[in-house]
Amino acid sequence: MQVLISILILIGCLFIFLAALGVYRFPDLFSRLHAASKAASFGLSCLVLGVIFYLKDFRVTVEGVIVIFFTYLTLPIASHLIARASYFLRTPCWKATVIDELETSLNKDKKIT
Amino acid sequence: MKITMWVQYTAFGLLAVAALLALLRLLKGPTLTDRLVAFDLLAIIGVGLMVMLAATTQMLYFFDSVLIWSFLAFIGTAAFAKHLEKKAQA
Repeated sequence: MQVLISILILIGCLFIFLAALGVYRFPDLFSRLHAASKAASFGLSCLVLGVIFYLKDFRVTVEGVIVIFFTYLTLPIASHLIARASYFLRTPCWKATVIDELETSLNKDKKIT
Repeated sequence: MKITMWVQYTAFGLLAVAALLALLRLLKGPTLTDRLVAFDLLAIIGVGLMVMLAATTQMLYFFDSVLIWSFLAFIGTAAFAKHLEKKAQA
């Protein structure tokens, strides 16, 4: 049991650290956002799960499950809003970007209306 | 049953280095939205630190503040992003 708790906590902290490393090192805003939203939510849920198994308290279990559920509910929404705002602010993409599908779809909408 | 000191030190160390990297991006970030991403990540690191603190000190009150903290971080980020989007489209 203690091995499981240690592994869960260490994996969670490692993934949060990797998310921060990605935010620091990636070249462009959208790839930074990609690192920050996915790796951080997985790491946080692992960490909270490990602490739930460690503390073994009813209230902590309920609140931890709420925190995990809420993280998976809100972090994608927040990062989607940030990406949308930065797209409309015309943040420059990385120079190796291949395709921009939102631009073509926006142009198509403009032609229809 | 306690977590070994080794696990505690490693977890707090990783979280501290992560907070340092996010702070550096918050200072450096070329655009405003880069800083917003770093701020969002910093709030998540704060949640992780509070969870680890609740585990190591056995004070369960920290878990209540974890709930409020994650809720407020989401509200702040979403409101700021919405404001930026409105400013961009105007």
